[in-house]
Amino acid sequence: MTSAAPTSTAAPEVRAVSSLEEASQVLAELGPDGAALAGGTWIMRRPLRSEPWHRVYVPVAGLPGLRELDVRPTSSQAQLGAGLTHTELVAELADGTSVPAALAGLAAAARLSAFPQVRNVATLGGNIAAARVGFRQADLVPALLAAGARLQLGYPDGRADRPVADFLGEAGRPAGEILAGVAVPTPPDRFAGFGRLTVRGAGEYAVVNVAVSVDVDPDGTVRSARVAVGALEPVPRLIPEAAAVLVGRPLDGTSAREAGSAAAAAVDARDDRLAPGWYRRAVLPALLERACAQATSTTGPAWTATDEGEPR
Amino acid sequence: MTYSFHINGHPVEIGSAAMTGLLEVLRDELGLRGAKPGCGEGRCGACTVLVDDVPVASCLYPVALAQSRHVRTVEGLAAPDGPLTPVQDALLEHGGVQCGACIPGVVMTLTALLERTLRPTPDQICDALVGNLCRCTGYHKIVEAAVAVGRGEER
Repeated sequence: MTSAAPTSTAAPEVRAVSSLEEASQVLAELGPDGAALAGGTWIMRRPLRSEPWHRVYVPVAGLPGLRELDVRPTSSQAQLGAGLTHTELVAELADGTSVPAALAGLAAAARLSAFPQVRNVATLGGNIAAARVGFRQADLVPALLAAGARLQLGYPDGRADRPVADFLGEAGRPAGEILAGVAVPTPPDRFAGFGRLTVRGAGEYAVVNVAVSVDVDPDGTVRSARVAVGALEPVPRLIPEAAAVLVGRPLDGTSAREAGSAAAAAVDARDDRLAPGWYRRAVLPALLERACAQATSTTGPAWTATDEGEPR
Repeated sequence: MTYSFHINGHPVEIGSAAMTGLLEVLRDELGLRGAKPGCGEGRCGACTVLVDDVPVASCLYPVALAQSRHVRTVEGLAAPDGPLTPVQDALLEHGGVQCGACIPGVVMTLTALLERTLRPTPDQICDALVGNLCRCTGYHKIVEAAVAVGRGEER
């Protein structure tokens, strides 16, 4: 999951290790010649992207610690191992009654992303790591950004915690750094949602994906909010201009659309084969309304859609 | 480096390069041509096989990750002279097979679904099939076939 420039065009080697620490040491020694390998669904397409292979890949998804999961509603945060697949996340997070509402956006992102054949192998850590190096549609990443998640990173000489945005935004990563897990805060008054638009009805890459999480006072006023958007710019990111629109008022279809318009004004949406940039911006308000409707749909505050909004 | 795993219940040892796609190994090393190379990027489902009973896009699955696992392909479902499985029978019976390019992948996806879910609803079937593109049938006949298997009409 490191992103240093590869140096080899020969057939790559896969070197098995038995612990996170060993993986970190091996990758630190390899430097730009090595990379972590999780489910492989992004790395296996390197030839399609005209990217050379790294010389050595180190499988990490099954290592001890990378498959841990704790989503108890009594905990103040959820602990998700980076080696969990999208399918496993869905199975663990989709039960809306016993899982904190703060995780609903991440659950939806995992459920809607790609196709079953990919979700069955593609991992949480792989999705985050790929988002750094060109996978701008990575669905889990906006959900993690909006949720205020922190990444747990392993190094040859220890561990560190970093916000997702820092990991995505910095140019290079140190050799030997491995994404071990994700901690997602789950305060009881936090509600989260996710929306994505695809050219086909399901699966596929998102034309736009958007995630929201809000902390709501007992009277229904949004105390704080985070909005994150993916697929538009090279790397998914938080849009503070959109979040600011949601704060200090009840969450409803009108505020969601206004926030979506603020997001559309703040992003630099690129054209690509799926859709032009103007279209991606134009659909953001409706998608953010859907995401906000979902955020309030389980145990959240009351919801009033706009005239164009869909019932949640 | 060789990789040892099971294909359709039989142990195999493969000497292919570590990051070779499982699909290429199945077709070119083992002569199992049921899984098809379609899009080559995990979006069409024609290469679907089961790894430890779970559908995967074999074009994107490095052979090194198959080590010690159980891989099942369409060739493993029915013996050459044996009866077809209920899923295969139902697809024929309900007109779910036209050109056939997608069918080995569809069969493996539905086989995995019906092993987990005894009587899947049409919605569950559509969710399972979202990663299997079929350009001929329009999917309705395939879904009807899977519903019929769930009802036991093909057993």
